[in-house]
Amino acid sequence: MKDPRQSVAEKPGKWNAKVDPRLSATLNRQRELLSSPLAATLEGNLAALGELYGESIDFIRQPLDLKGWGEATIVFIEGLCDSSEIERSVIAPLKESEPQQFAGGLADMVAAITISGISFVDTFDELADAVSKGNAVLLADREPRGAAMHVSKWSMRSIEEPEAETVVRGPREGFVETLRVNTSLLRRRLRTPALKLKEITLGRYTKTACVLAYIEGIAEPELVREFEIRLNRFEVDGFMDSAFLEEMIEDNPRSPFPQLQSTERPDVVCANLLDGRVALLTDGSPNALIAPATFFSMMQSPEDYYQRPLVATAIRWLRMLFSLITLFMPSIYVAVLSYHQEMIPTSLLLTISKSREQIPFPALVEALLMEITFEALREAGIRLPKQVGAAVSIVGALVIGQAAIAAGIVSSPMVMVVAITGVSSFLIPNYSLGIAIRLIRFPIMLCAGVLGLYGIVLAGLFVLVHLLALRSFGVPYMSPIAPLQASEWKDTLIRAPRYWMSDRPHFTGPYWNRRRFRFLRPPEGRE
Amino acid sequence: MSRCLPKTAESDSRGGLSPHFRRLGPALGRTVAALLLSPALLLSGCWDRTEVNDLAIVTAAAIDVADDGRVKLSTQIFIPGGEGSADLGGAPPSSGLQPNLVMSAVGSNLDDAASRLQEQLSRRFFWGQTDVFLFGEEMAKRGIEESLDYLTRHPQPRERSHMFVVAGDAASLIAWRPIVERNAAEVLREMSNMRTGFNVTLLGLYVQLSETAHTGLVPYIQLRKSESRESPRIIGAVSIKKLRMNGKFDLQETRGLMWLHDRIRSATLTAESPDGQGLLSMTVLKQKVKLKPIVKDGHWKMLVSLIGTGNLEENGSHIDVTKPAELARIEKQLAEVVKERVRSAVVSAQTMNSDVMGFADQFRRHYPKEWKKEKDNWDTIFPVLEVDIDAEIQIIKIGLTGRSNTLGEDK
Repeated sequence: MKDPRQSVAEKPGKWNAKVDPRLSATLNRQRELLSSPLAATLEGNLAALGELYGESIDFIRQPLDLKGWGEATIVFIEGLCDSSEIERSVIAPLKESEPQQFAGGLADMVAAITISGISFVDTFDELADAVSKGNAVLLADREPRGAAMHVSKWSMRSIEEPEAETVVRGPREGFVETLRVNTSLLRRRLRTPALKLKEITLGRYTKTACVLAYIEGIAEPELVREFEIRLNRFEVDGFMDSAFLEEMIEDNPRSPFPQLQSTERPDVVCANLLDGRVALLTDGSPNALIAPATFFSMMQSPEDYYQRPLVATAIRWLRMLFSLITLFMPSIYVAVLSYHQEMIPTSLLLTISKSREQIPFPALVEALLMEITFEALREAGIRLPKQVGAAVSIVGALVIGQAAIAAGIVSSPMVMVVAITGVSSFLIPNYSLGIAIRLIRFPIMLCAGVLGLYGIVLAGLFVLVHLLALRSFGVPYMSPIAPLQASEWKDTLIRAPRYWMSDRPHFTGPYWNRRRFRFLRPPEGRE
Repeated sequence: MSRCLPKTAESDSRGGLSPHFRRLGPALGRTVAALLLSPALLLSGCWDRTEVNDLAIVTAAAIDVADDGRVKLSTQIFIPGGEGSADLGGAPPSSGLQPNLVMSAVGSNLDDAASRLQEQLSRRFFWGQTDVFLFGEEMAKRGIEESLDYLTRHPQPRERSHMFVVAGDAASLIAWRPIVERNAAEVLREMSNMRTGFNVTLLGLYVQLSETAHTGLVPYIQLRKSESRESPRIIGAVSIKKLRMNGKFDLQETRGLMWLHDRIRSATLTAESPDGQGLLSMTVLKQKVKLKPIVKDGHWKMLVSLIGTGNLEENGSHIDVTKPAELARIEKQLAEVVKERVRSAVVSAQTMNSDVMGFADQFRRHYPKEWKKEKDNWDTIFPVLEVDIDAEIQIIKIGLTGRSNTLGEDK
C-alpha cells in the first residue's frame, strides 16, 4: 500500500530550498529574496526589506547619519524591542563617537555599541529571523551584512501557580508562555552544565522555537536522538501549543491515552530530567511535554514526593481505587441491575428496586442520560463566563440532584453512582489521562448494557490489551507492571522512602543509574 | 533502551517510514478482529436483559401438600412500590407496612406449581434472592426429593438459602408479618444465623444427605403465640432419612446434636450448683468433639468425648469460684448437663433409627473393611450401638466479682 504522506515528505522541505514552481509568484519572490545575501548598498537592502515586509506598520526603519561613514539604518519590530535601550546603547554611542572611528566599517560600529548580545547576519533569511526574535539590526552603507543586537523586551504574563496542578506543599511556580523564562526556570533548578537545552525551530510561518531539555549523562542518547528524528519528520505552517507537537510525535496518535506527560510545573520537569527523561518546551505554551511517560507516571502527583511516604502511598492507592471506580462503576451498576440481580445482597436489591419502581427507562438509558448530563455540566463549567457560572452550577445541581429524582426520570442510586464517578475522575492528576478514562467508560457502559458483566470483562480486556500494547517513546506504557520490572515498584503503587529509591528508572539506559549512594538512610541508634 | 525504542535509526527526517506507519499491518489485523467479534455483540445480549422493575423478587418460598395431594407452592413476593415508598424520596417504610405479597399455586410438582404461579404474575418470577425455603411438615414426611432436585437443578435458587421444616402449614409462616424486620424471610434468616438451632443451607443439606449415613438435619420451626402475637420459633430439628422426615428432636436434644456436630458457639449452659442451692450459668465459647469408633470382636462401639470452654456468667450459688477445687466441682456439674443432653439426643436418634450424628461416616473411615462387610446391616447395628459419652467443661474466666456471697452477708 502506498503511503499517502510519502509524497508530502518528498516535497522540498527547507524554507530557503529551491523555488517550487507550484507556489504563487509572490511566495516565490519572497523565497528568492530571503535566500539571497544582503546587498552591498544600504539602498538595495532597504528596498528588499520594503518588498519583504510591505506595509507592516510595526516594522521600523530608523535612519542614522554616521559621521565619517555615511548612511546607516536600524531596523527592528516595534513592541519586540526595548526602544529606550536602542536609544541609549546604540544610537547615543554611535552619534557621539569621533568621525574617524568607523574607518573599519561595521565591526568598528559594533565596538562602540554597549550591548552584549551582538551577532552578524549575512542573508535576508537570517535578518528576518533576528528581527522577529526582537533584535534590532544595524545596516550600514557599503556593508553586505548587518549587526543584530539583542534588545528584545516584550510584555509577558508573570509567573503564577499553575491552576490545573496545584499542590499544598511544594513549589508554586509555573511555566509561562515565554520560552526564555521557562528555560531559566529549569536552569535555576539544575545548575549543571550537563543540562542541555537544544533548540529546534518548527513551523514554516510561526517559526516556533522548541527546546529539547535533557541532562547529558543521565538521559539515554538514543532517546534524545529519537526525539529529534520525530520532531524533524513533519513540516507544518505553524502551531500554537505543545499539544500539537504531542500529537505529531507520540507513538500512537489514535489512542485516547496521552503518551507524553504534559505539565506546567518546572519542578516536575526537573525531577523527570533527573530520572533520565527528556522534556520538550515550546515557545508560546506553558505546557512542557515529558517523555517517556507511563500510565503510572501520569497517575503520580508532584505532591507524592513532597508528602511523607506513608501518606503518599495511601493517597496513591486512593487514586488507583477511584480511577477504577470511574472506569467501571456505572457499567457494573448497569450490568448487575439488568442481568445479574442475584448478585446484589437481598436487602440492597429491595431498596434499589423500590427506588427504581417508577423509572420509565432501562438502567442503561438511565445511566447514559445521567453520565452525559454530568459531562455536559462539567464542560459547561469550564467554558462558561465566570459571571454566569454560579447560575449554571445551581441549575445543574438541581437538575441532576433533585428534579430528576422528583420527576421520576432517574433513580436516586443512579444519581449517587454518577456523582461518585464524576468526582472520582478528578482524582487522576493528569487531566488528559483523566479525560481519556472518562471517555472510555461510555463504550464500557454500552458493553455492560448489552452483555452484562461479560461485556465489562470483554471491554476491560480490550482496554487492557490496548494499554499493554501502547508505548511512549519505546517504553511500554504499563511498565513496570508489564513488562515486569520489580525494582521499580518502589515508585509505582507505593511511594517508598527516598533511601530505598537509589536507582533511576530502567529506561535511563546503560549509564550509571544510581541516583545517590551515600548517607541516604538515616543513622540508626544515634542522635 | 535500544531494545525498547522502535528501530528508526535508518529513517531520516523525511524519507523513512515512521513507526506508526509501519503498524498498518496490525491495524488491518485489528479491523479483521473487530469484524469477527462484532457478531458477538449482535447475536447475544440485549434481549436477555431484565430490568429490576420486571422482576417478581421471591424472598421466601413454602412448599406444602395441597388438599388434593398435589404440591402447593406459596411465595412471598416483594412489592417495590409498597405503601412505604409513596414519596419517592425513598424513606424506609414504617413497621407494619410490609410491602410483601403472598401468592400460592398448586401444581403436580414444584416446577409445575411455579409455572402456574407465573401465570398469575405480570412480572418474571425470580428465585435469585430467595433466602428461605420452608417445607410443610406433611410435605417433609412425604419426601423432599423432587423439591430438592428442582431447587438444585434450576440455576436461580441460591445454594446458600436457608432450609426449614415448619410444624403444620408452611404457607402460614410465609404470610406472617413481623414487626422488626422487613419480612418473614429476613426474620428466619437472622434466626438461622444466630445459631440457636442448626443453620442449614440448601448446599449444606445436599452435602449432609450425600454422606455415608444419607441423613440430614433441618431446623424445625413453629409459629407460636406469645402475648397475643404470633412469632416463629425454632423448636428443635427434624431428621431426614431416605429423603423424607422420619422423626424430630426437641430443643434439648437438638442442643445435644449440636454438641456432637461441633456447632456450639457462644451458647449458654445452665446447671444446678453441686450443693443443690441455686443455679450456675456459663457461656460456652469453644467446643471440641472427638468421635472414636471401636470395632472389637464384632462388637461395635462409639466413644464420644466433648470438651467445652467458656466463661462463668452467673453464679447463683454459695460456691466460692475463686478456689480451684470448687471450680472443678462446678465444671463437673456442667459437664454432667452436657453429657445428659448428648445422651438424650443419641438415644432419640437410635430410637428413630436415624444416624444424624454421622457415626456411619466414622466407622467407614476407621474400619473400612468391617464397614464394607456390615454396611447393609447398619440399620440394625445403629439402634443398639453402644455409645460412651464423656464430657469435660473448662471455665477459663470467672468474672471480676469473685465470690457471689459477699453481698448482703456478714462475715
